[in-house]
Amino acid sequence: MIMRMLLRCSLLLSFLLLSGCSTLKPGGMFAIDEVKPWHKALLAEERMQLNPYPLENSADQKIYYSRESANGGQGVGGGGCGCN
Amino acid sequence: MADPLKAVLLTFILLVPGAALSAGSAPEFELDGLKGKVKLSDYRGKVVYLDFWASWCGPCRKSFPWMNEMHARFKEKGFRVVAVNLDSKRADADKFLTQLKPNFDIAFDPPGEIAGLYELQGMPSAYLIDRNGKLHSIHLGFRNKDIPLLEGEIEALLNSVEN
Repeated sequence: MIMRMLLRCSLLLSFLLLSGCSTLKPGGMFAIDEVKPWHKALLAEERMQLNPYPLENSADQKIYYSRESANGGQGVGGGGCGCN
Repeated sequence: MADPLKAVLLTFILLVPGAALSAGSAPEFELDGLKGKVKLSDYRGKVVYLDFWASWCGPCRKSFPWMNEMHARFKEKGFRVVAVNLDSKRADADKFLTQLKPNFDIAFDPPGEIAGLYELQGMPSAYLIDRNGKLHSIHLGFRNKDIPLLEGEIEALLNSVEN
């Protein structure tokens, strides 16, 4: 009985989460609004990118790869010694 | 025990907004433009490329020179570009406009009401509307490889006899 109730609750919860939160506003269960495409201005900012400073990151990776004899994979190798 | 649960479920199913943008006439709108109001019905008889953009959107920036070119090339044949801005801050839009100097009509929809009406799926989105105000096609995003297709569709609509 308890298992069945739990199952039902989880089903209901998953349905609520999948159906998009904006539909839940009248019920007041979540005060979350759906993010529309035109609301993504902040996400598009440079400082919000996964790699906000590509040049700096590339320099860091080069040092990490060539000086610490780590395994590369970032496409930047070579320490200038001709050995890499 | 199951009945109240079913009722709750049914309520949520019915609450999900499922009404897709109906094929047929493009939803009417009236927005502030650079010079007075921009109203869709005023473009009846023209082929309209209704574009939604924002200053922070990269592909939008790429689409503007192309839209300028299209507008210049097909203006005489009755082609119009209406670009609806969705920036929440007008200053951002103005800066973008001074950089890209569009020669077509710009409208401003900071709350995104019209974008909601058109059920925008992404930025930029373009809605091609024929001379009778009917929605012809929706184009999501702007890629260089889409350009020939878009130009073909615009020309076909301009040359179409039934419009």
